[in-house]
Amino acid sequence: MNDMEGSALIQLRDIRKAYPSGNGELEVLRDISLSVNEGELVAITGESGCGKSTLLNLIGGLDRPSEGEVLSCGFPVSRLSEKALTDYRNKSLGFVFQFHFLLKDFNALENVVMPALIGGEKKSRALDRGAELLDRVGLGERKDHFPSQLSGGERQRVALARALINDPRLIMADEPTGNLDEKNSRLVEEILFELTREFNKTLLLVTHDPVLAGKGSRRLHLTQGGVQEL
Amino acid sequence: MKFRSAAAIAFRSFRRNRRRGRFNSRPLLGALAGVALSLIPLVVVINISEGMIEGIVDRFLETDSYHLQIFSYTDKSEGDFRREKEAVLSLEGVNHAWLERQGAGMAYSEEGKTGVAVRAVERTIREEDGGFRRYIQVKEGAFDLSDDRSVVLGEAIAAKLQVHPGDQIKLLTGKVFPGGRYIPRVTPLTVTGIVSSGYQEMDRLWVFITYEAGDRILSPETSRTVLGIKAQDPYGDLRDLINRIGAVSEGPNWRAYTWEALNRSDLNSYQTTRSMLMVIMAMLVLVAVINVSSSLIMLIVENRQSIGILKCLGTSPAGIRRIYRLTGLFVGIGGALIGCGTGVLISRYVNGLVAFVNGTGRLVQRLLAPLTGGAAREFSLMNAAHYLQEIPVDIQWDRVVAVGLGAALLSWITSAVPAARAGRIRPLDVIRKF
Repeated sequence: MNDMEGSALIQLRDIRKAYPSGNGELEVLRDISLSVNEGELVAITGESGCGKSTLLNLIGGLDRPSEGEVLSCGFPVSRLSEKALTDYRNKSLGFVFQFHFLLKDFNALENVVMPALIGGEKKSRALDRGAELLDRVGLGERKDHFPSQLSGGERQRVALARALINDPRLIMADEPTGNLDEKNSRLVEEILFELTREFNKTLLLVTHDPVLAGKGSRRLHLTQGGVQEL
Repeated sequence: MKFRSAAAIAFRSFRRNRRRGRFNSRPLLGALAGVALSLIPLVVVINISEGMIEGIVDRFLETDSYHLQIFSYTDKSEGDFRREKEAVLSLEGVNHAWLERQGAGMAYSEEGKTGVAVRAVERTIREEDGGFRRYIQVKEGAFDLSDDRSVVLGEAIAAKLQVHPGDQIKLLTGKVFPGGRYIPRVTPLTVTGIVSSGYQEMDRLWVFITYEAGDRILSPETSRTVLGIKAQDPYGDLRDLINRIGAVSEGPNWRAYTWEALNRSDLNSYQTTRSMLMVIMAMLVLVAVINVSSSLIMLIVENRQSIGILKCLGTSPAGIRRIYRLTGLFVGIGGALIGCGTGVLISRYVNGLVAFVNGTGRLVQRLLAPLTGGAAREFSLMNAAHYLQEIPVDIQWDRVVAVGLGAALLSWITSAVPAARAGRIRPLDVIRKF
């Protein structure tokens, strides 16, 4: 299964992604090749519409490239079956989106443990770990609260705890502070970097925020022409 | 996704969110209520129709057709019938055998007249025959046929003639002479009792006199004698008993018929009516179950984002399908439990409910009387003339359970289409930035 080079956790080879548009197609990514090593905290910046989120979606197996190959966490993501993709997303990835995307009918703790339960984890063990993670993001007292009873920053912290519950190798955060005020942004950033470092995770962070981008160990700038190392 | 996790997510749709002050999915509760409401009449019909048919059949068996009837196709004397009776009574599995002469006549009093079915029976039939006694209830006087001038009237006849025990009525019968000449015969009789079979069709027709009186006043051309037999197990296989009766009968021309053969057209009519009712009620359940499917589609549209999130978190399309198949199944199970439970309760207390509705209706009728000028007829939910006075209820647990399981199974089956639709939702379409 593992056809990665060296210690690279992610490898993109000649990725091209285009969407049908009218009679032709709209090309979003072209000739993208890059490699991310395990443990790196990579910030991806770029203008709106340059394909940052599309790139994350391809790596996350939420979309497939038009051309090229995506290798991640030892999986040929672009060639995986639907079933294998769901396992990959469940076991190897942790998503944090711009919008928290918590399940509205479940409380904070239930939201956090959901990936573990989906993956077949024993409920009691998942709940213990979920409560521990909520403590770590400062929401130990709010575990019974529903998303509608939490502030934007708190919801993002719950989403961060959820991303970590299955101990994935890769955390993918797509503008995680894009919807938050300054104070909450800094708090979420702080927790995000602290936990990914502590748990030795690889972070792929898409952001417009130069301050946030500067906190990573590596910074990539995406343009229509390709990826530029900063 | 494991079954337990899928079931927990599916079950969440039915929970009341106390903080949000409402149920997580109202359309589903509506669908559940629909299944329950559609099952209630079906369950009630199952329990009541069986009870009503059994009640009516049982009454017919014990008071009218007997379990078996023996006819003769040639002229037989009373003595022949008595010997046949003794022979039959000697057989194992026979409880009673009664001679009866059946004819028609006109009963009249000073207050009215009515056509009647004359039943000339043996004097001790009610005293000795428990089945007859169970269903022929004495309303006034006694079932006293000790005198050949005695007559016992059905309740509706007595009401029509406005007579009571001790009063006199006249019974008009006739004799047909060779050449077709008809000579009417008037027999004065004294009312000794007024009875009810619980079935008004019977109470409107029957007058009981002694066998001897019947033999005297009923012309052989317009009446017949039968030997009615009460077996130990009327619902068992009566063919063996018929064979044994044939073996002990004196001479040819005796013919025995079972109650099923005698009442075949009535039984078929009841069964057909019940089957039609069942089909109509089952259609209601089917509509309610299809509604489960449309409610699931609404739920899926409502939960589109949650489905996308679950897929991002690693739920497979099969896992999503399982969640919504289980949701459909839960709607079916919930609806079946509530519907069947309520249906059984209503069946159990249906007589009380009918009495309550009648009582309330009559109270309202009385309260409104000053405004309406008084109603011509007393309010009644059902016309008692066409029903048993008390609805016999026989809870058919096996059928109730089968209907409940069927509804749950159908809910599960009809949830397949919306569940497949949910499984096809692409997470990317949901998490794409606005």
